[in-house]
Amino acid sequence: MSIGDTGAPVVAEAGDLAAIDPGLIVANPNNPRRYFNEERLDLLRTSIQEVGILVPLIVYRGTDGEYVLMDGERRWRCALDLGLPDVPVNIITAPNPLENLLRMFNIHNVREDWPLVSVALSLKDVMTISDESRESRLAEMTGLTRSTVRRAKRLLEIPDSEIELIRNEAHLDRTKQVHREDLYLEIGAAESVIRNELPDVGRRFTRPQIIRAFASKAEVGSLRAITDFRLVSKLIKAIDDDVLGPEIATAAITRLIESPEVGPKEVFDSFAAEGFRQQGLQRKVSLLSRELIEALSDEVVVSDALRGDLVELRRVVGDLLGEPM
Amino acid sequence: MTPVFEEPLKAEMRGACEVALDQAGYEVVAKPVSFVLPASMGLKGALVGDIQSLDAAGNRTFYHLRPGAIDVLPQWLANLARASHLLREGEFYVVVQQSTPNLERSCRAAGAGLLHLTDTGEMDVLISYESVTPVDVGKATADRISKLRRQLDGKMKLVRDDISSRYQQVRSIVSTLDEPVADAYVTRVETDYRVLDDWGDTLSRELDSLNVESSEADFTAVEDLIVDGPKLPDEAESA
Repeated sequence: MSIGDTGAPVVAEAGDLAAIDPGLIVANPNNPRRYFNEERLDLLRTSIQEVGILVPLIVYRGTDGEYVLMDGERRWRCALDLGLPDVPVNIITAPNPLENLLRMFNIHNVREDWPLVSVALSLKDVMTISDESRESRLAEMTGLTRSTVRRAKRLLEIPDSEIELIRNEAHLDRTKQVHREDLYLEIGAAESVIRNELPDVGRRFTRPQIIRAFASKAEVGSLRAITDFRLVSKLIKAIDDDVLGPEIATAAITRLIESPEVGPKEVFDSFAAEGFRQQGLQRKVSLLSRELIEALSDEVVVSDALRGDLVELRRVVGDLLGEPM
Repeated sequence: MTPVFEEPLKAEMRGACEVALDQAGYEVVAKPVSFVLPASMGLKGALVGDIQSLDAAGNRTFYHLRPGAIDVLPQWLANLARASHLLREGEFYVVVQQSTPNLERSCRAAGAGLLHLTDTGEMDVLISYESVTPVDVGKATADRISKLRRQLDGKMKLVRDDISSRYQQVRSIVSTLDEPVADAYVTRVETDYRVLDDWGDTLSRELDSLNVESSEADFTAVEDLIVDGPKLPDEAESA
């Protein structure tokens, strides 16, 4: 509602092109990005101050009679900053909840680069309302890439309390965020591997407990890099490779969960790194043996240089094994 | 009152400023008053500020808060600072958490006072409003800068419309593509938007830096950048 020339309230309805007080407009509840970087709006603020808002905002009437913003959030915010008395609006019929969500995706997501956590939460609403969970279909509906849909769905698998931590830091520069989306994607993947491959650990700790324990490493600064959580998979793979027994892997992962000050790299180095190093050496020795046998048949004349190296190798191996030759 | 959508860094700064003003004996105005800009300036809007305060004598001060780094006063704030000298409704201050010589120069030129909000929550005066008078940019220079800005607006609209038309076709284009190819296509369109926005911000700051002392070469350099437009990834690849 705005005040007309006669001083009487004027109500603008669907289908109208009107000028209304920007203070009567509210942000769309389905556009989760509720703030903009200050500098990002400077260009637009100056343009609007000099020439006004040329393209009307799009709004619809909310259930309480308020004007809900559908498109033009930046222009609207600039109008408020600049103290404009009114802004041009196109008033449309109120969309249904799914239409509203999808339009927010298609209008805002690409241009404003929502954080993944915001995408995930909106996607959750889309999935609930549309009863659609297929990645390809969700990508088509929202305009997101399929890999973004997949990452968003994976993020939704972490506990709500952790999602809240991500949301609270979403406005910060990436370098200042502790609870980063990609941290949780790595943690989620590591937790799944643990649950699938080490059932004893899975029985002892719940998924939220493991996720919390791993996230706390970022909080206390014991995490060298978020990709270090990939070492959890590598450590567990050591069981298949006969580098570690399952009981040792279980002890290693338990230590990782119970000790916030211990990082994945430390655990991996303590329990599995030496095993993998020896396994690598074993492969090289075996390959060298095969090559020597194949290459140095009876007919081949061995050069003096090679002979010297082989003798030296024999001496080194003898010394290492305590069998001087 | 803090708007619910305010950037958290700015909301934090607002809180700290309000405490500082209160401690300094100023009354923070609960409902800021708008003062319509003088018609002679040919600008839209009003002087409101992020915060307004009143001293014991009822003198009003307008504060505009700028969290984060800022190296030059944006044109819209410079315009408001100039307007404040014509309106004479109160002093006009920009509040920053860190300042630069360039920012101080542009504040002086626009007639804006400058306050530094310290880590301990105090507001130090870097430039007193009373000590500055806006430098006359001259109509010719102002018109020229304004014309360049419209050129920038036009260029951005042109490029944005082009990207948007591609984005509108994205769904039908990618529906038959394999996932990696489809994702790469969508990502490329998204990147184009970001490159355009970054380019616009950079050029806007270049325009903010232009003033009566700028040389012909300065103007030409900015104009050339606008004419060239943003280097979108697709173009960069084919170049």
